[in-house]
Amino acid sequence: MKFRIDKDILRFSGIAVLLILAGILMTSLLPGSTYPGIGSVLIIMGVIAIIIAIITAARPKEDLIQDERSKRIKETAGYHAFLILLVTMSLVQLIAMFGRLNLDYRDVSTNLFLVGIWSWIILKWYYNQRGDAR
Amino acid sequence: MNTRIKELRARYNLTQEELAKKVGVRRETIVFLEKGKYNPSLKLAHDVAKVLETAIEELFIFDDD
Repeated sequence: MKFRIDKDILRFSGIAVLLILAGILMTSLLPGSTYPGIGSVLIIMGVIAIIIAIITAARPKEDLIQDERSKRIKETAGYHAFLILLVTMSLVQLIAMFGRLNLDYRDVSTNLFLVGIWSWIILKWYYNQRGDAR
Repeated sequence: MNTRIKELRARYNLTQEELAKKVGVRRETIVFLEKGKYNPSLKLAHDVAKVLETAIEELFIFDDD
């Protein structure tokens, strides 16, 4: 496998390494109960960033250009994910209104956020496999 | 929708990658165009037709029904 090394990849990898170092510093050197938590989050973010950098470096630069098909797929997936989010929020509201479940938006906001993000990712993948978003 | 992109591309000895580079899109876009699964913009259709030295109506064949 051939890896592409350019300015963007190096910059992104540098940020990832800095995140991991900051995380290690926070978890091992700083006292208190808050810092190790933030430190481990930083380490996880750094590791994810390194994995993304490796995947990106393994792909040819031409594969990463935003052409009209990828833009259309991204926009349509975003629009449909937003609609899914609205429908989900309406359902949550309905359930809360009828009092079957004692739901509070503050409790379900994280899950709603995940519904939106995952809908967007899955729809993007689906439209990309299908070829077009129409 | 059917296209004659594959046939004309072969005539000009162009790979999908080369055609993609010439019209400024990803190789996958050319793959889906050839399969007739992607409905291109007028600009992309014009660019592909120009590279393959043909008219747009010769390149894309639409079923009437």
